[in-house]
Parts: sequence; structure tokens; C-alpha cells
Amino acid sequence: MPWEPEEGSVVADRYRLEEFLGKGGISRVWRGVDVETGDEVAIKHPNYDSSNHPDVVDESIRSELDVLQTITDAGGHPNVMQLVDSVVHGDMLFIVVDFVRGEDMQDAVSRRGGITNPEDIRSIGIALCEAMSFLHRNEVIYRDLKPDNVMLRDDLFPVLIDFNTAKGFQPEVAGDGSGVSGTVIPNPVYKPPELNNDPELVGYRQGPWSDVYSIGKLLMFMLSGSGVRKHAVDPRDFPGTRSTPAYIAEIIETATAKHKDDRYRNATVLARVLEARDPEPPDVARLLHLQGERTYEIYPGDTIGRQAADGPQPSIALEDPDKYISAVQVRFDQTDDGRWVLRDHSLNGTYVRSRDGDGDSGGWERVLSASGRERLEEKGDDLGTDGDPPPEERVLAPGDEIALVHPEYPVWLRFEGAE
Amino acid sequence: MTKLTAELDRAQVADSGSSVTGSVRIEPGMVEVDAKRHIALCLDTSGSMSGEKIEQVREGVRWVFGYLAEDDYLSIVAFDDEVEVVLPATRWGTIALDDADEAVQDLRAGGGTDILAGLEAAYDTLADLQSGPDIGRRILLLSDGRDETPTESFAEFARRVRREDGIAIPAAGIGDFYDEDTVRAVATASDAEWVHLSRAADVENFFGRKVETLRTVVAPSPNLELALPGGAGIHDVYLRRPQVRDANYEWVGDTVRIFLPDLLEFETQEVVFTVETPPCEAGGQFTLVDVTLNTPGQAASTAVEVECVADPAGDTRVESTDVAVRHVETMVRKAAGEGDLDRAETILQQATEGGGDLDAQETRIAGGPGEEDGPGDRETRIAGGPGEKGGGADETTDPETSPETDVLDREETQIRGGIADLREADDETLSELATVVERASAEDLETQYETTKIEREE
Repeated sequence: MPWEPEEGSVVADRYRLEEFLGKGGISRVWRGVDVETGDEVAIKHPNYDSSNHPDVVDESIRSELDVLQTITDAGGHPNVMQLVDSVVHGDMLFIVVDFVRGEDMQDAVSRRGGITNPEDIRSIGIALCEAMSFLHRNEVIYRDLKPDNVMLRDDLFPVLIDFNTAKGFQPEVAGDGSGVSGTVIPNPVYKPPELNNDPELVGYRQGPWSDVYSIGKLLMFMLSGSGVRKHAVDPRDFPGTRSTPAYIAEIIETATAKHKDDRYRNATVLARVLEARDPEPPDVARLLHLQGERTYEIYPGDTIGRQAADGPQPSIALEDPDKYISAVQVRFDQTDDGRWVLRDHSLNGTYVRSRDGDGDSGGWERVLSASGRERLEEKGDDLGTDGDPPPEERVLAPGDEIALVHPEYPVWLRFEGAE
Repeated sequence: MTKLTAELDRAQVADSGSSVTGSVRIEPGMVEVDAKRHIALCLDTSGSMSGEKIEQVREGVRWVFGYLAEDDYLSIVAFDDEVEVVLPATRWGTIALDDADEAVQDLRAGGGTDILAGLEAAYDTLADLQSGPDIGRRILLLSDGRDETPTESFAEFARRVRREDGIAIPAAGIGDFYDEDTVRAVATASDAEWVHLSRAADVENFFGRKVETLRTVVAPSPNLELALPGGAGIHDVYLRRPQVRDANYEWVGDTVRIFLPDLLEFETQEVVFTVETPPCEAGGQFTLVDVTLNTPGQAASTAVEVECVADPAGDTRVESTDVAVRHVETMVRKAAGEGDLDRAETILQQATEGGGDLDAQETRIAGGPGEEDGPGDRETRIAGGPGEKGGGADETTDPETSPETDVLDREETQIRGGIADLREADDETLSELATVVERASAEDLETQYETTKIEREE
């Protein structure tokens, strides 16, 4: 029998296990303390005494660490569990994360008999949208948004936990969509049809609209205290939530529509309508694919990326057999004063050029994400600018042309502005 | 689009005859237009329902209101030793929510239990409504008590309303004293699911799930015809999915007609069975099962051929352990689900001794696969795991309210122990089989997964 950590064990001379919190198919979790700093931490390690094969357990927990590392590298997000450390002790991997003092949404809701204050619903909803949006643009697919996976602090500040069914983008490994870590378990309450069923039968793939559905269902759960299986659920139809304010009810109904085209397009849009207390989605702009001669509608928060069987699925997925386009290449957003902004999230960058009043085009200007810039600097590549590093984002005007990857790479789009 | 797949556990049969295990799987696709629903709630309001249970029933009925659409019809029938139609079949678009709420307030507990009278009245409320291929019809039965009427009378009634009127009767028993045989007989005979609700709070979940999924009827009252060669026999015919239970079937000439639950969007159905093949001429090839799925206005078909070989001992080799395992697993789960753990164990032992390779039911017996979880997570137990008190389809099992858990846990442990002994025999085969069962379990979760779960303290 291998060594099994127990209360009082000190791992790697630094982390003391104080209280057993729980276990799942993959891991066991403890509240612990960092004896060097005195900080409270959560410590998880493989649970080999589960129905899963030890190899599956090892693979899943390793994958969780990878994802947490990706999140850390991206700068982290306040609403996403934060990696503190990882150590191997007695041949066992330990993941140390920030301890979130509070309870999971399931327990919080049942103890409080529902979270019904519209302002609480709004702020939790917005925070979850921001967390999902952060994960999406950093190419992490979460895959299992449900009440047990959201911790709520006493002030109802939500933190997403549990990343062992999440996965980072591994374009060279994957291909059949089955992924690297654990099985994704269907959940008819919190997952939309495209996540519970064969996408071929559903007719469309998962994407940022899938997060919208799950967040909508979480909001309904908080209000009613029950998981509701219905699509397009209007809280006002159900006992206990009949007096839900109209704007919240309508937002939940739209977010949880059965078909993706009837939902908000992405978590950013959902956050905006919650912020505005107005179920009407914000402005939509148009984008013309110059080679593909196709027009796309874009909403704030929409992303463009490469079509990949197993990738984080962008709002608009372009075919790119040569794989120069990143899985999430650029993201569009709108500033408070209504201007559209393009933000690069890629490794190679994106080029934009404007036309002047006579229709003459200016020079191409590079827009490049911070991580892309770091990568190029490490490689010693020319950043294509004289001295100043390229900006991470750029305001767009109607008529601006956008070249993904490089102007010589034939994927150009023209920003047509709002309708 | 509905996919139809037939499989046998071997490609060769003995000229003297063999026992061949088979499986037919039906995978319906997405429904284009929501079905209209005609639903009668048939509610036990006998004295034993008083208190929390009747309160949860009222709440559960109010939840049903939330799921309904304008064109749906709802009726509510309450029974104790008398029957009251609390709400006649009413088109949902024509009733004010307040009026419906008022009807719910009239539900009060008291008196004895006449389930059959309740069912008959519920049937009457639906009988005159129009039926059709885009209409799903249900009586949802909820009872916590016993009725002296023989079980077979219930089965006869249920079979008749299903065959003649396309009405299925999903049935839920609540608490510790309901008549499990009756609940199971009513549901099974009407091609519907039966469940055990251990907590009053699960009423809402049961109603909600049944009402919501009825919206996704792809085809009502389908049947499956297995045309067999003359002289062939069939036995141990079970529905494996969406729920393990006896299959309803009849012979029509050399064809076995199996009655199936309504096809619902994305809800896989699977039938498993054993065919006794007739003697055949060695060297020949013939169609052993010709499968046709009949749904209103449409049929799909497939067939499986076998080769006849000289084999005096009659033990042609099992090639697809997958199919064989699923059949044994179904029988084990059925026995365990009915609370007959001795029989479950016997079936398991016979299977493992006979083939030496049909282990791997352990995942089931142990109560379903664990869900991958994270911090603050707990041992998860999937609803529908057998071995719990009396419920093959136990929606939510809560150890704290189930005093017999300890005893049952011990018996489960025994079964697991039996399997563990076998495990040492041949690791490779067993791990292969474990994978098969694991995969099958994961698929099952689609229909069995419920939101409520168990917390087990350390």
C-alpha cells in the first residue's frame, strides 16, 4: 500500500494538511496551510481509490495542472481558481491552489433558500461571464460549468474551481474531439444540447454560446434552488420565482434557448445585457471575409480563430489547413463610447490598415498580444515596428482591412462597421 | 434521423444450434418541432401522504406548470379511497396560472388508497383528446401506498391504454411503504419508466423530467420486429436502455414484436436478448435476425447474418464480449434493481463460470461510475445504480434516510468480492471488459444523470 496523505502530513516540507474537504473520481482535496507564509491553501492530490483507472486519475490531474499553469501564465483572473504551487512528494503529485473561503453554489443556494436579490444575480452572473470569457480567449475550454464547480465567498464573489475536465488547446494531439482528460459527463440541466449530444445530430458545434447557456442555467438555479431541465426557461413560470424582475427573466430565457442562434452569442454579450439591465443585445457589426466572400455578424466579445476539431471553439471558425491562425486569433469588443476595438490574442499577430478619404490604403499596422510579443522577442524576431512594440489592440473604423497572421497570408477581412 | 444498429455476440453458430446473445440499439436524433403534450397527473392523496409529502406534491405540480406550453393539455386526478378530478383536461393556453394554482391548493391528504380507480379516472380525462404522431400522451403516477388489487390487473390496464391509446404511465413510488410491484408493473406494462423517490423533494424532479422530455417525442409507440428463422426461439428479452426492465413482446408468426417506449430526442434505446438458433447445415450462411423498427409513417431495418459450422458441442466462441457483457449486465442490474441480490449474484456467477470472461459488472454493482470532480467534491453516486432499497431506478438515494443501506452495502460488498476473486483470473480480459462496461455506463448517464447527488462523509 503506497503512502496515503493524512491530516497533519506536511508535503514537501511546506504544506501542512489541516482538514479533509472531500474527494471525487480524480482527486482528494484538503484545506492546508503554507507553513512558510502562514497562508491558507487548498491542496489536492490523486484519488487512486476511485472507480477510475489510476492512469486516468494521473492523466486528469496532470491535465488540470497544465490548465492551471496556462491560466497563471495568462495572468490569472479573480474569478478563476489560482495556482499557488505544485510539488511531488512520495511519488505523488500535489497541486496547491488558493483556498477560497466560502461554500459551493449548491450548498450556498440550499442554505440560503435561493439567491434572489437581483443585484446579487447580476453581479455573480457578470463575474461568471468574465471568467468564462477570460478562459475562452486564453484557449481553455471549461466543459463542466455547474453549481458544484463554483465557489461562492461569503460576499457572494464567485470563483470557478475544478479544472480536471477543462483542457487547454493541444492542436497536435487531438483531432477526434475526445480530448485528453476525463470523460465529459452529459448534464441535461446545465449543458446545452450541443454539449450533451453528438454535434452531428444537433447540427452545430459547441462554442462561446455554450457557456452562455450554462451561465443562464446557473442564474436560474440560484433563483429557484433547483436545477431546471427546460430550455428557454422563464423564471416567472415557476413557483417561487414568479416575481423575478422582467429583465432578469428575459435574459435567462434568451441565454438558455435550445438553439444557439436564439441565445446571446457569447459570455461578453451576456455580461453586457446584465450590466445594462436590458435583455436586448448590444450593437452588431459586420465583417466581410475578402477571400471567402462571406459576411459575418460580430457581437462584442466575438472571436475569430482557426477551425479545429478539438480546439476552444471561436465564435467564427475559419478553415486554415496550414495552421498559422491561432485557435483564438482576435477578439472584438466595443468601448463604452461605442467604438469597436480589435484585440489580438495570437502568437503571430494580426495586421490592420485603414483607408483614407480618397480610398487609398495606408500601411499595415501590426497588432500583437503580449504573449505573442514575448515569444517573438525570445526568438529574436523582428517585431516589424521601429522601436516601439506593436499594440495589443486597435480601434477599428468601417472599411478597415484586417489580415490575420500577415498581409501575405491570404486571410483578409474587412470591417464594415455597425449595421 | 434515427440510427438502428444490431449486433450479435458471434458470427458463427453450431449446426446443432447455439445460444446467441444479441443487442439492437436505436439512437434517435434531434426533434424538429416540439411535440404537444397530453398529461394527466395521477396523485396519491391518501392519509399517509400528509405533511411534507403532500406539500412537495403541490410544489411539484406547480413546477409542472412551468414546463408546459400553450398547446399542451393537463389534467390532475387525486385519489385516496375516492377519486377526484381536481383539474379536467385543460389546454394550458386557456387557463390562468392563478386558477391552476387554486386547483393545486385543493390537494389534501386523507383516506385510503385506490390506485386503480385513480388510474382509470386519469385515463378518462385523456381518452377523448385527439391523438397523433406529434402528440405525447402520459399519465404520471405518484403513490406512496398499497392497493389490494392484484398486480396483474394493473398490468392489464396499463398494457391496454398503451396499446390502444398510446398512453404511457411513468410511475413513481415515494417513501418506504409503497407497492413496488404495482409501480413497476404499471410502468413496465406501458413501456414507461418506474422510479423510487426516497425524498419528497424528488417529486419535482421526477415531474419536471418527465414533462420536459415528453416535448421531445420523435416517434410515439414504436415497435421493433425481429424476424427469426423458423424453429428459432428467443428468451431473456430485456430493455437495457433507457431503463433496465422486462421487454414487452409477442410472437407474430416467426417474428418477435417488441414494444418500445416512445422515441425521445437523443434518448438511446437498447434491447438485449438471447436467440436459440435452429439446427442448420454446416457451411451455409443465413440471416439470423432481420430487424425492423416501426414508427408512425416510417420504418428502418437492418439484418445480421451468421455462418453455420459443424460443432457437436454447440459452444461456438463468443467473439463480441461487448454484446455478451451487456446482456449479463442487464440481467444483473434488473435483479439487483428489484432488490433480489441473490439472483443477481447467481447470474453473475453463472456467467463468469461459463465464459470465464464476463466480469466487469462491478462498475454497476458498485453504484455507477464516479464522476470526475474537483475541490470540495465528493464521492458521486449516479442515480439508477442498483442495489439500493427496492429501486432499480432510484432517482436519488440518500443514505441518511435509508436505514437499510448498511445491510445492502454489505451485500454489495459480497458481490464485489466475488468479482474481485475472478479478477485475479485474467487481468487482460477483465480490464478489457471493464472498459466496455465503463463506456456503456457513461452512455447511460445521459438518461440517468440527475442533479441530486449523494454526499458521503469521510
